Amino acid sequence: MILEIVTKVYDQIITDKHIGYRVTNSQNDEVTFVPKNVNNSDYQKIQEWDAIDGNNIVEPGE
Amino acid sequence: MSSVIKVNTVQDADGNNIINESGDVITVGAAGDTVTVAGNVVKSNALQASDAGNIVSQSGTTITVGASGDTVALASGASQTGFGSNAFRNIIINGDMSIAQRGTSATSLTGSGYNTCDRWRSQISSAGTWSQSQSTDVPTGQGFATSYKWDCTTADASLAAGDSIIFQQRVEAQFLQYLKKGTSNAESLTLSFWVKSNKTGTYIANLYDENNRNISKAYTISAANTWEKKTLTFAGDTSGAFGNDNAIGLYVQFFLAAGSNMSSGTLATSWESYTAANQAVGQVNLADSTSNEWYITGVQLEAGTSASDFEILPHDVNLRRCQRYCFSEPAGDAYHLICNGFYPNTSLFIGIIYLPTTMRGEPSITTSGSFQTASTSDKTASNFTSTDNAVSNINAVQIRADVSSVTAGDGANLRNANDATAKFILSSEL
Repeated sequence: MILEIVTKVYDQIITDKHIGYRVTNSQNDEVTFVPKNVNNSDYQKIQEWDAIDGNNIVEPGE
Repeated sequence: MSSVIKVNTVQDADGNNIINESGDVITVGAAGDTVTVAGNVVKSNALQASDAGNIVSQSGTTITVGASGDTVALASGASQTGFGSNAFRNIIINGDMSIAQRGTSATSLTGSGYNTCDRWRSQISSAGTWSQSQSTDVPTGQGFATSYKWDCTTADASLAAGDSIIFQQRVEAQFLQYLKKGTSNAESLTLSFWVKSNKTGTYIANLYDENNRNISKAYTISAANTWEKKTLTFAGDTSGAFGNDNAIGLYVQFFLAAGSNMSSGTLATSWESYTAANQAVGQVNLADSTSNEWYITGVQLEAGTSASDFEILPHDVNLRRCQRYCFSEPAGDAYHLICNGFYPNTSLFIGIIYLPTTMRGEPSITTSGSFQTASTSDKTASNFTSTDNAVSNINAVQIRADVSSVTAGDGANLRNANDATAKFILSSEL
């Protein structure tokens, strides 16, 4: 999973509940939903990526 | 001329029975005696215990050990060799590279991730560009059908200090408790594998644990383009116990390149607290030419100081073990069914995917291609999510997808939308 475009994802029913992230791979058409779960290694990777200056997680529609 | 002596009992000079017959029962020796057979050959169709229960019996070409209700056990300290012995002794999953759910090839690789064969992760840090594939180039006569191939497509002949390439498998800690790591009874580990490369020289294999401890061993690829079997034994580690959980316990790592940050010290040939510079001292740079290739298969890590034959698992068993970490809907079917579900409102589909085996934890969902929900009409499905499964060892995943203009309350199924190459992958890798 290449972290370039990372967008917050909210629950489709409880619309203010943050449930994870969507990672879009610009090199192919793959899209990955990563649940907000500390046991998920992709979630851990996003947290590490987000902690680096210059990397930003965007809100939907931004 | 034959001679016949007819007696019921033969006794020694002291009057103790040597042979006695009573009815149809012939008894050799007496209580306390040792009966020795010259030549050590006894021919019989059955060996029975004193209660007449079979211990070993033969019928035709079938030999049966024990009888119904018996427990057949090995004495403490004894070992058994051959098929079925010490099953699941291989800590490595998919060591024969036979499972490749994500695909059999990947190109233009420059970063980290799981690309082809299941459970095997590549970590490329600014050290060339690579193609990888599940190859059919295998050592002859060893029973392997596939190997993992690395092929350098853009070289990096001059590694910067922090550059490296690591090929690794991450092992769940709760699977490693029997190694008794962190105790005085810690088990040694033996790593065996088949490897082949045009690039001869020194390579490093490394074990790195969750406690930031590691140990490395060097091996040499001696002959270019020739399959060689390597066996490396790592001492048991009396420090740093594995947590009993579903997180990473151990990284089993093969270095393919290492800049000075990882190679300028003294190789850590005993377990030690992690010092980067001691990890891969002497490692050749496999990235130094686009002619370079590296193959590996038959990877086995087992307790003990010697390597046993590679443990071949049935394909379905191997696949299930991989599916704890990755479950990919199979490709090749234009309208492949993913799950059944319903529309709770006019813009949402909810369905349940029942998993083929318990997954380690809540998976990520990677998709590409076109999907639809099918009910009274077909609707494009996108923006997949799952609902929270905070627990481990999950058996099902609730999938949600955005749709439009559907009828709330209708049932529907989620499937490929005339796209045989669409990918739908659940990943719970370490």
